[in-house]
Amino acid sequence: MIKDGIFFDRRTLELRYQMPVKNIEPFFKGLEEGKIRATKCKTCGSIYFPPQIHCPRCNPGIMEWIDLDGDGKLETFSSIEIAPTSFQNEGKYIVAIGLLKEGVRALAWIDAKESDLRIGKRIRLVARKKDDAFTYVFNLVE
Amino acid sequence: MGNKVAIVGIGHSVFGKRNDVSINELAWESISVALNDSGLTQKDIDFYTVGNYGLWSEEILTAVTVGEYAGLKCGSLKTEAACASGSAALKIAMDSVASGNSRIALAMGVEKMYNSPNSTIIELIGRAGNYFWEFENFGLTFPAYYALHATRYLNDFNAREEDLCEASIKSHHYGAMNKYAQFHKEITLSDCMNSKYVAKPLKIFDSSPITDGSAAVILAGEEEARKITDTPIYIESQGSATGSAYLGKRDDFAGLEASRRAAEIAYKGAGINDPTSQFDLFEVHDCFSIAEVMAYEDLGIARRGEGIKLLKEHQTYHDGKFPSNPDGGLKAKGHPIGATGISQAVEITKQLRGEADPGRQVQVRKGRALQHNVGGTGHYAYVTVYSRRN
Repeated sequence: MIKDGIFFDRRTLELRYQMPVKNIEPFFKGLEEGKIRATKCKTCGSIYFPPQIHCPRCNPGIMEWIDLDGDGKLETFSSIEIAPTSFQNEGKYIVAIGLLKEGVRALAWIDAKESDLRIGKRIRLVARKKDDAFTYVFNLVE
Repeated sequence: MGNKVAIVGIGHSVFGKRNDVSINELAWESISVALNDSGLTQKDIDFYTVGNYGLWSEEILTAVTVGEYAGLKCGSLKTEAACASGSAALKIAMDSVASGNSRIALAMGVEKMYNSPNSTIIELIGRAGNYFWEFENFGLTFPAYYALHATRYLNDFNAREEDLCEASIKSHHYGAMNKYAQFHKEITLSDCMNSKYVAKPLKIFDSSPITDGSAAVILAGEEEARKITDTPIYIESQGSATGSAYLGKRDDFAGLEASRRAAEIAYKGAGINDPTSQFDLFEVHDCFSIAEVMAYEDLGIARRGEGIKLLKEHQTYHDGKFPSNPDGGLKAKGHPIGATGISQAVEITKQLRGEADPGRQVQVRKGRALQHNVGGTGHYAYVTVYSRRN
């Protein structure tokens, strides 16, 4: 169809990726058990979050899975006012980055009132079930 | 690097919502002008590159479709470095000439964002980070990535949203004088402050728009360049760096570490030991107001936390100490992703030649200009030093 000089495509494309996570299954198993897991290189001690199964520093290095404590502090945050189309049904959400006790940072939603948030406040990263899938979220520690 | 490379021809399309043209027609608007500007023809071009992010427009092999339309048959390559795809295109074309593999090369960028609805664009551009760990669960948007930096910056340096708006006010001031710009209206502080939030603390008027546009430059080696034009603009050096995809791997949110590394390499390559005194012009990557402020600091023309001060004191206006983005920048000129890096190179060439519009032409004393082009949120960084060697 041509309207106002524009040809409207008759072909549509649905993009829905199929992403291999076999090697990081312990992370998702951990979420089911209420744990946030990272990987740690037994050779150099580097901790990886998001978890990855190879240590580029040591090449190869031997990795092990560790449970993160979850305790951390708020480094920055933003309330997303215009969300992507695929998040239209999520309601309003606030994204935060926290520095965890183990020295790694995580990015996740923070479940708190925006007016209560201050950089430097103590937060906790916890596993949670949402829409039949396991994910993780920051909470404010009062 | 072997031979020094110079820009010998430039072309720039009108930026904006260009629903009057196809992507190939839009690319031709700048290629044709660049060819005529240099006095060269397609037969002279030995290699060409096309910076293009795509996805929102239908063609995937844009280097090929653009080449076919424009009568280019030599070797080619499409480059992707997000919003720095244009600088990546420049790099490949420049290296091709510097190595002696090409006598003349063309680097261009084109983006046709309005071939998809806004909702699709917001979705696609929000994925330009670490898709699996950031977007999939947490729905980041492009403004949100920079908003995370803005929150931290305002906190650390006790700055206000009003201060960030100063960058946008300046951009619109110059956009109003640039006939190639998307926006031609000046804005006030209250226009900016009253605009809607997109990702707090960033508002519509802190953000660059969705843009269609193209830009092209033609490159030749030093000796060849002097035969082609009386005003070659030399690329003295280029530095590049790659930041982490996952923002959680960064330990500084009040600046972009990749920009600092790229600048250091570029300064070393061009013998710059004091960026505050050796440039007439800065073209900085101001996709958001906060990005312009961080750029001043990452490039070393302001101390950490003092970028805002440069804006407040009008030191980065065209007649200030550090003229920055006298073309309106990404904010008001527009930000056609893959074309932006080449558009900056075109502006620098115009300025160093002394051919910019009255009211926005900077005074050229040192004959040197700096380009800062960032892809994503410091995911890619390219810093390039240009000179007219007076």
